[in-house]
Amino acid sequence: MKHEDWRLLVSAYCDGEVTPEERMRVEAHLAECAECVQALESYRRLGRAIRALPQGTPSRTLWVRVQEGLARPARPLWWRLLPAASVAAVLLMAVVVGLLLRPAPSGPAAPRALEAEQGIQAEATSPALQAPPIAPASPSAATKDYLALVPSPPPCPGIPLALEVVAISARSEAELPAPRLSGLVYDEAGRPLSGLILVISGTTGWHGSTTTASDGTFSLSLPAAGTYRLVLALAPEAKAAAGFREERERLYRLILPDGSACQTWQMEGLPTLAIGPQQEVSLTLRVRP
Amino acid sequence: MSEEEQRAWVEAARRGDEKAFAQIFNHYHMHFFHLVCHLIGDADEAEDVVQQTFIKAFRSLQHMRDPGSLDSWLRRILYTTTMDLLRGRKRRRETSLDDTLRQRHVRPLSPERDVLLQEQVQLVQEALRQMPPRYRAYIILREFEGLTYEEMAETLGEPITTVRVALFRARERLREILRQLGGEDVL
Repeated sequence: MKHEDWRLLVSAYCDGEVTPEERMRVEAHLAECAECVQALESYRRLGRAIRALPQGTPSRTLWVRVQEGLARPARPLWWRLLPAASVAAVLLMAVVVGLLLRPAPSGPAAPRALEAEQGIQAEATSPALQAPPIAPASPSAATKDYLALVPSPPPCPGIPLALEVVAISARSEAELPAPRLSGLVYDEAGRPLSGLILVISGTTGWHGSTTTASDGTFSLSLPAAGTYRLVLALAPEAKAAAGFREERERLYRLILPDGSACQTWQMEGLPTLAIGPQQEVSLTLRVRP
Repeated sequence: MSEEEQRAWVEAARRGDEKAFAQIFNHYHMHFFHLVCHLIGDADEAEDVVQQTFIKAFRSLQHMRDPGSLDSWLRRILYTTTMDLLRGRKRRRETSLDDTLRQRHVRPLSPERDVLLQEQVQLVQEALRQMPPRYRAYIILREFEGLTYEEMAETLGEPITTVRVALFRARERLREILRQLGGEDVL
């Protein structure tokens, strides 16, 4: 047997991948070949060295990015996996997006929200910064300020990005196929923030996510009426563009009901939203680094 | 994780249970990230590979033949995605394992670990960097991932006999490179 053939057997022997017969032969050979013993030791040391290599940690937005990727295409499997009712809702979403894009005054909202909306318009430097127009509500439509702002998540130490809810308006209309959340995110200087990932989680876990467009707007359909929590994640590109530094962010672990945790970033002051059936909510957020 | 658990997760995910997706991700992503970091030597690209892997996997879950073999099924997707990336890289830049040492991504070595060990780590990383990607994969799948030859064959889509010979050649190549780098200590 050639030298290299022995060495090959030694390598397999090192991994315990030899037949009993081969094992006997290798062991007999090792008893008389110092070079092969050295090679065996060397293979083992290399293995240990590789297992001892330092290991990093993936970024905390990875799960959010996976969800984003799944939500992106028109009809990914993710949606096909959902119950038929949800699929129908998603298909109808396009109709609502069309409605939303039609320029129109926003529906009546609570005085506080109205004031805030006026504030935005005063601060806005371009029309794109205004809150996304909401489909015209006929006077007879049951439009009401349904939305309730439940206390924000408990504050925790550190310097977070402050997130301010500037305006919230809600509109309830019979023809809306599913509750939706749409809005605008901009920074303190009034620049729209693009590339921000918004994740909606409800009591049963993750519900959907979207990314703000270049004009800072976003729109997201929700599977059912209920109470949701809004989580914001910054994509690395958005971080760079907005000049955010990582230490300004605060990590929240979003604990899913089954006890598993989804790591994500959350800014302070993000609201929990109660959304009624067939309701559309418009939310304007200002991020202050 | 047992075959039964894997099967339960897959079946739940197929029913559209979002929790199951999160569970699968949570169970595998960290380890996959480490594995790809070693395979390609770049933490950012490794994240992209892991992200793509889960997206591909979740989308094709319906077509998975044996739900009890989630482990190996995911690993195959991970490996294919990694190799696609390596092929597409076109040597646009040096593949540097040093990247994995960037602060953001790496747990620093504990102070007790001495300079010697630090040097050893760098030597091994440099030697791995100089290996052809395919050879590096044999070494990493065996030594880091701890796969059997059968599992390696399945992941790589090759006969076991090929795995056996290629792993041996990869080991010899690694030793040769380490010798050239003056890393006799590691050998």
